[in-house]
Amino acid sequence: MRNIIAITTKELKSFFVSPIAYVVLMLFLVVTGYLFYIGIVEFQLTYRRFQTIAQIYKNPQILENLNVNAIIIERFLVNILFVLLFLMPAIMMRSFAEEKRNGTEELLMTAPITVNQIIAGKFLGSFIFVLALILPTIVYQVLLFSFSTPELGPVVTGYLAILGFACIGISVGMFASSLTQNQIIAMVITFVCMFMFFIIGMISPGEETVLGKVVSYVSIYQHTKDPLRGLIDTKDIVYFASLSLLFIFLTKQSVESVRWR
Amino acid sequence: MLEVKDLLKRYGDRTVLHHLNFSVEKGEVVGFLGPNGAGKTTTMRILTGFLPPTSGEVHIAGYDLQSKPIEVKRRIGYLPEQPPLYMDMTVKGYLRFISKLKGIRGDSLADRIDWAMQKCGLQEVQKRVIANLSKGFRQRVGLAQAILNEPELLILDEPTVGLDPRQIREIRSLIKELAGEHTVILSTHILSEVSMTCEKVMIINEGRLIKQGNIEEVTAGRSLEEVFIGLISQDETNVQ
Repeated sequence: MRNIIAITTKELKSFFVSPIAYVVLMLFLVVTGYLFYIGIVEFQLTYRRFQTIAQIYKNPQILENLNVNAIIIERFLVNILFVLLFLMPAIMMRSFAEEKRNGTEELLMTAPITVNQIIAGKFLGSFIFVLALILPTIVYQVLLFSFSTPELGPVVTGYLAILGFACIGISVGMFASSLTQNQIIAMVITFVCMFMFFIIGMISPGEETVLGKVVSYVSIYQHTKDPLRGLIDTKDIVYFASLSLLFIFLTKQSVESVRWR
Repeated sequence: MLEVKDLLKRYGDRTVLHHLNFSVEKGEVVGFLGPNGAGKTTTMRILTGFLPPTSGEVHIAGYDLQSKPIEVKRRIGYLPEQPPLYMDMTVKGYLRFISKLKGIRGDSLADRIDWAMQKCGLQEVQKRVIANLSKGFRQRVGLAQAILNEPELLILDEPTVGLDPRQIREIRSLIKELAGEHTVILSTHILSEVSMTCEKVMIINEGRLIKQGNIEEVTAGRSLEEVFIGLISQDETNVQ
């Protein structure tokens, strides 16, 4: 456990020493802040439209159908997923690629620690970094809760879905980064991989065929849809866990493959 | 201390190490000599557990490398050819990270770091970022990393390459200083270095160990350079 913590601390330090962390943090906050603003403006427009309709029909109850959760929060969380899709590859590209380029891979592999500990340490370090990235967006939710009365449940499950998505991103990123010493290549592989998981649900040939079922099982969209609306199903948890574990397993094989050649 | 039995390493069809057999006693300083591409680095990487051998056995400090890699790794210090440094860390921060990896904890941690920095002459640069250090200092940080855990076996891959004459002398005297309590294997192709620092010498060519023994026995009055060139060319005609 102590070995894992040593690696995790080192990872976190190297994140915050490099300019990448600050560029990513700033980009993330600027983009999500803008998207939040857009969400509020959109809500306002819809509200006015509903007001007019309510006046015409002389029925003020129509306004109660406006749902802050559906109009602002759910869309905002989906947008965070999209922003992460683009940022995760940049966050993860250093992971193993830099160790290889610096020759420090030899240091880690000849230290009295196991490959599992190295991977666990790196995973945890990246996970904490992503947490630090997402945490400030809670402020937006606090704002919404102080001016309105949205439901808390979907917000919590929505954030859990985002963290599940981040876990997949971290594992895919570690795997891609362990394949090469070139960070750009690692970044592109991670992005393409994540993008595939993202869009595969949109080109689904329908749920009836076997292929359709497989496609919708792999799709990230299919498994974030329900949590974003406040529904948590074990099959979604199994999905996030199994896909992350698959890529962690592949990372282990790839790191150890120096020893097969 | 170190026992290597019938060590064989193949990369695909290419055999890079042919059945090496050697042993090193505690406290000895062994020079590992050979032309470029002879298999020195590969051998050292196998000894440190970075690469597995295709076949053969390695025992270090009484532990089998294949079945107890962690126990072995705890007892060795390794300086690869390219010092494995994190460029964005300070010297002290780097050494602190390495001590944690090597399982040095609690009260002894600060002592060990100070000791290693003092031995390698790093006190004046301890707060500087490694990326800003000269090559000589980087090499010394690499060496400090290797001796941090007071390893029973110290494996140094070309520790003086790229250093200026004064730095080379400093590293040599450091190795001599460490010799008593630690066993040291160092690879190099600077022959004078071996005659100055080592008691024993092993000469390897194209993956075969062609000579080993005490320096006096091997040279028998001649210069090490003469012996080395003689052995290598003799070995090459034998192979042909």
